[in-house]
Amino acid sequence: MVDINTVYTTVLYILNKEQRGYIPPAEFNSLATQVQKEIFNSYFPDGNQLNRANQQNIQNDTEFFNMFKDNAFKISYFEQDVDFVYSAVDDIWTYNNPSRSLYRTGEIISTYDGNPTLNSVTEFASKKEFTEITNSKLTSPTTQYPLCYITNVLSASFYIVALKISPQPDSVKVNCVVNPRNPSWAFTTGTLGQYLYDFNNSVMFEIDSSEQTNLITGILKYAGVIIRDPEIIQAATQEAAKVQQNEKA
Amino acid sequence: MAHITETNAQYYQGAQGFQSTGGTDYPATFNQDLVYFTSDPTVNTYALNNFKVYSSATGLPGTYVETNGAGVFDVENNVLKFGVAPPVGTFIVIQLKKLDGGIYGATEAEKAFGDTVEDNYGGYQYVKLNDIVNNFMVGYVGDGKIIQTCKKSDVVFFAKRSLQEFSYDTLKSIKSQELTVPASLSLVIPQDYVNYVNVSWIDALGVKHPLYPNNNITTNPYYNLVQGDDGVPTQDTFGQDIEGTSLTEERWRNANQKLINGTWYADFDWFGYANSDLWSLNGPWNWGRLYGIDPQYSNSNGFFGINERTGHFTFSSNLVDRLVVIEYISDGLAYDLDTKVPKLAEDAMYKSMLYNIVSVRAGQPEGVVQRYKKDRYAALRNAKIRLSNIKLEEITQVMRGKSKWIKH
Repeated sequence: MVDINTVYTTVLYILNKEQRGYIPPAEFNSLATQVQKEIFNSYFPDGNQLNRANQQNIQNDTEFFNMFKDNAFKISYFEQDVDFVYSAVDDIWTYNNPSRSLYRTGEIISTYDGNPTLNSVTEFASKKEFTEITNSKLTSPTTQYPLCYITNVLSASFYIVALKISPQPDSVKVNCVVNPRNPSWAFTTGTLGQYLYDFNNSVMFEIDSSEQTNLITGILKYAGVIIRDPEIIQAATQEAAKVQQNEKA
Repeated sequence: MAHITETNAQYYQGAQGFQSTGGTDYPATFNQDLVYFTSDPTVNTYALNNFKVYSSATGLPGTYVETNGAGVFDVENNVLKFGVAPPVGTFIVIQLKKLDGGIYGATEAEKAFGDTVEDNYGGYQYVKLNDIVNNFMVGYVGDGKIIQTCKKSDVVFFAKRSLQEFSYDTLKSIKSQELTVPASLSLVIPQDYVNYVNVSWIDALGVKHPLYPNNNITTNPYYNLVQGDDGVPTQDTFGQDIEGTSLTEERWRNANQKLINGTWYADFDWFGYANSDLWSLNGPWNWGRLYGIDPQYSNSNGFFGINERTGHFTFSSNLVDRLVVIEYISDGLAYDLDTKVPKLAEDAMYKSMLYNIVSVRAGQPEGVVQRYKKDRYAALRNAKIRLSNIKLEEITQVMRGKSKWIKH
């Protein structure tokens, strides 16, 4: 978690240096959402790249300096075991929570009641593979080896993620990565018309505290565009590049 | 974690005891799952439960009574759940069905007769195919290993294929059927049959006498076409060939086997007188006499064949009403209980799956593929030797009978 007030005050401090400009809270909140999303999205290609060290057996075995584990740790804030709900009409399992939308689905555990109750890891396949695997007598899905593919279904005015699982389980739990909530620097207006920080109604950055520098430089980069100051853009971009190069080296 | 989780009483007696503390739930921890249909003995599926429940106020031998009735208990995730909690201190026993019925039932009707406990005896020598798949995923698949990633369905596919192949030539053949040959001289091929190992008839002492296949001596024609006078097969009104019964099979059924196996002279009580005339006799009993009989046919035990058209084992006429045992192999996948692998072949299974998966992957260095091929071969050979059950003392005992001068 990164304190949004710290980020906002730091950004304002840097921008106001030499009277360059000012970012009001509404604009800051938009930029904060954008930058948090960018950083969050970068975890996944970064994770893929950092995992090559594991695949090539050149990963270090240290407790704190393994960058792949570090990257995975940053995602752990967003990992949730999510219960999917069965929709008999479409014969699918859905998740619909607009306040906490899914970013990625991970391991799917299908539970089959009985003696014993089976909590089976469900293989994820494409629709084509689902058909092929189902048609083979050796690999056709069973309660021990269930199979699923992802699809979608219209819910109200938008499509939501849905899983088609075979054989039909009694309940489904999916380890998911959810999207971060939008940060918000909330305020009240003071007697002089000034903005006063409202801690209780603010939403903090949900990404890891180690990202504070990246958040500030990222917001500064966009703020530089808004106030049309190339010097700010250049400085922020160079700083971000330096951090990125260091992390992935 | 120790692999044996059952208590001695659970394994040998098939019984697990509890003392009520006022709760309704009693978890069973047998190796086998409880099979539950109903607790109501008036419903016929009650007999399909693989256990019975007994209770006693004192726990003393002879005081246990069978506990059942509509809604008395339920089973969920192998947990026995009573509708009403038994009084505190009540002794409760779950008894899996056993050939002798167990020790808790007071009457024959109350005893738990079945073979659930016996099915579990010796189970420690096997590992389930499901465990093989899970172990393989842990040990052989993952980042930094030769198989970085692999679909579970691929692993399941090659595990099952390996089990099939192992069943054909590596694992012990444990399947057999004891049957009596009827007047039709044919028996249906077993449901899970893949190939036979041997077929024998059993004498009054229980000794088995091997039967040999009739491959080169008769046959079971696949099509028995009805012909017209011109020799051309005739068709029915739907344009299909009309088929009749096989004359070959009929003649074989009626054949006097002694005329084939060379013991025909036993039928001639005047043999001693007629010996000189036999050379001039013509007829089916001359079969094999010109060049001497082939040893493969000089078998007085009888012959068996497989009629692929009807899906039957067929037997020679001298075997009618005799007890035969058909030993055969299956592919290990016919029933859930079959899907287990002897621990002596567990490593060979992993090596076989590893080689198969690596060999079908694109871009694998050929050296790696060949390495696993050799590993697989060596592990398979080890498994065959282990499962051959070669014991030095037994070999010594056999060799003692082979020659007077091998002694120790």
